[in-house]
Amino acid sequence: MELETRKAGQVIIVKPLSDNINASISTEFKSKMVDLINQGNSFVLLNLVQVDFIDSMGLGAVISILKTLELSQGKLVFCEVKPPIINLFKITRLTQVFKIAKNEKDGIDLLSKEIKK
Amino acid sequence: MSPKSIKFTVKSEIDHLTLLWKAVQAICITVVKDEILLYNLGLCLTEAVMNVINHVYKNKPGKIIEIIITLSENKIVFRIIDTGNGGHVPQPKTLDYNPKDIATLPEKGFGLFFIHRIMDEVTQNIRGDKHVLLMKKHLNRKNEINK
Repeated sequence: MELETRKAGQVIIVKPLSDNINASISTEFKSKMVDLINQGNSFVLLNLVQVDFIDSMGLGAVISILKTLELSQGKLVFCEVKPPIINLFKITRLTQVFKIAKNEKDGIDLLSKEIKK
Repeated sequence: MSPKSIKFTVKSEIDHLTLLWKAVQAICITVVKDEILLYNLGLCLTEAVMNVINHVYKNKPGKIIEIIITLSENKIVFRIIDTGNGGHVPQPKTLDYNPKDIATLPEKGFGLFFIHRIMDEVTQNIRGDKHVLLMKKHLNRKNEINK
């Protein structure tokens, strides 16, 4: 799977260019995200505008990425999350854990506040 | 609408799951208009098939999994049939973690949680050398918040 990335200050915006994050690509997705984190990108905005489907393995990969970021004092914010995926986060109670912004601008603002802390 | 069924097979390969999810949605949309429920139905079926691939067929490619989807006005029934050893036991799962402590978040175990959380009935039985997982979702409920 391909990831489109761009920087906005200390924030890296990552957009998966796949319509899904499921069992068939979750390992590759996690590996590429960890590579980005290891390159010093600690404040990550994950733009899911192109993602229509996340399964249990994809969710596990996202949680693993979140844990990796937390260990490096980083933060993860989601944006452009489609309603069925938001619902998936709700039924797993992950809306209590994940930071979700409406769009990239709001996501960058949210992460910028975290950087200033 | 009288019940209508479609039967197809998929091979025990994880790479086929995206296509399966899309196919299930395309079939179920004939009776389900709610996008969240549609998503969840596709999710449960792909999770059940993934369970068979991982736990029954131990990730051996080329094994066959039969899927029968029966649609009616008030329910959708999925049957997932494998010829494994019956080791696939879909016990209900709960998600026990502390949202304030990220270290406690599980990275596995969501698949069975989704199946039992979303579907109304989940049963299994053995017919000869075939193991059948049956999942049923009632559609006549106004409170589809339990999607």
